[in-house]
Amino acid sequence: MQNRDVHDRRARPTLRVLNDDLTTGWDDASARRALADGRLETLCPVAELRHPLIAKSREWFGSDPAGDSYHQPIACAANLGLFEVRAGQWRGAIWTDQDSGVRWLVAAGLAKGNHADTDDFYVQLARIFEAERQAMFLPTAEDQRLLKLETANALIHAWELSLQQNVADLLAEIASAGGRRRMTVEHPIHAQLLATVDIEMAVESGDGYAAEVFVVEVDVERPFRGRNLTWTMMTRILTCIYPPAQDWDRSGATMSAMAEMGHAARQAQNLGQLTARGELSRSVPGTVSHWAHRKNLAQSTVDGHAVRAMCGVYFVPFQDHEALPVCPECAEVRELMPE
Amino acid sequence: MSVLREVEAARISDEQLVALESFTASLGPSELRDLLIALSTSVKNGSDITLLESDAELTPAQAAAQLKMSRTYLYKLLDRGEIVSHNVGRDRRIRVSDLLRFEASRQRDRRELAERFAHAENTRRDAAEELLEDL
Repeated sequence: MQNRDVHDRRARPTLRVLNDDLTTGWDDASARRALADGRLETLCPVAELRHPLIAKSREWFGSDPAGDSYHQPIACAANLGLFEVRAGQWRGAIWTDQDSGVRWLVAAGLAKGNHADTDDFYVQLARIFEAERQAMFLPTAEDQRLLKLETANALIHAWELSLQQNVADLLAEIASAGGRRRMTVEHPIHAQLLATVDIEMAVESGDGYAAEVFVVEVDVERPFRGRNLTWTMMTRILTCIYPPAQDWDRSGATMSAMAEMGHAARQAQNLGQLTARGELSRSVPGTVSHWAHRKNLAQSTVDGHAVRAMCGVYFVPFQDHEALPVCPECAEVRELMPE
Repeated sequence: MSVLREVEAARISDEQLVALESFTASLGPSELRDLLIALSTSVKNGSDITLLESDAELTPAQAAAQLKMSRTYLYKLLDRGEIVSHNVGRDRRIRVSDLLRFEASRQRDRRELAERFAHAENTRRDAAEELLEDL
């Protein structure tokens, strides 16, 4: 059961075409290698794989219906409604799935001088139709799964971009003087409330410091608690507010980080620019390298669990720490330790 | 006598440490000996020590300093009841035992958040797989 308009309708190759038909003509060997290794998900988005016929298919049978133009039907394949695509000597057949509106490159081959040779694309196509074996061209369950995966990824990306813009707008409002604002987050597909997030900034000063303190309170709707999507939302929002991941403190549904004066205003601007480019901000994994007791490190580097550093911060030890400056608090603690 | 006594490990000389250990050894097996062993071990490791009576009470400012967090965040946690407190007149006080209980759950929560940040890519991928069902 598919939904029209949910998927990008631009032409995409089936796995069968990638495996059996497009045996040559690639810009580089990586796609065929991934296919051979069974790493299908790394091929996504399949419409962007680097073969001239795939590129041409994408161009002639694009995402936007307004860009649709006349296409040459393929005579022998009238009952399937196939249309022709050409790139150099390559020929392809495009089929439209009426349920989803998505176009598929379902057959490909080389045109051999006036269709004289038996391995000419049109000759082969005609033979298959004559033998009534044309069902072999249709997208399989695996093809549909990859399509859905690409769509899911695209939806999540768009959703994260809108979260980023919301945070940018909110930060701009509470910048400088501080304040508290609420944002609501909806599920990327269903128009259902996923969470309510309150973001507050307060300027705090004390013994030789002045900082912008951010406090984030999250209220997640019951059905979405603990879900991967919810965690994606959480890390996205926190990263947008203040990128250094290790600096975020947490107790239950309340999180906090301290930043330098003027951060909210600067970050609002950064985020606005990133969103305009369709880019998501990146979390900064660690600005200093921490010391942890040696026994904890080796296993955690393998299994990815967080380890408590000597200065109290939790970190997951997997990055190249040699290049980073040492955390001053850990250095002090280590200084005092016996050899 | 103040509610907190803080000692920097670096300010305890080697001679004093030796004297402490020798006194400790002279005690028979007891809670006091256990306490002093823990103390001298921490000092030898270079940890600074804070002595708090178990039912001592801290002001919010003292609690924030102990927990190494901003006052803003601390007050939020008090308001939400994440840290148990009680009122003494108009002011709030936090018991050391409640502080320690809070610290334990805070460690667990921080750790989970750190892991989620580190594995954000995988989490996103899993979220996409889950979303597949709805398409």
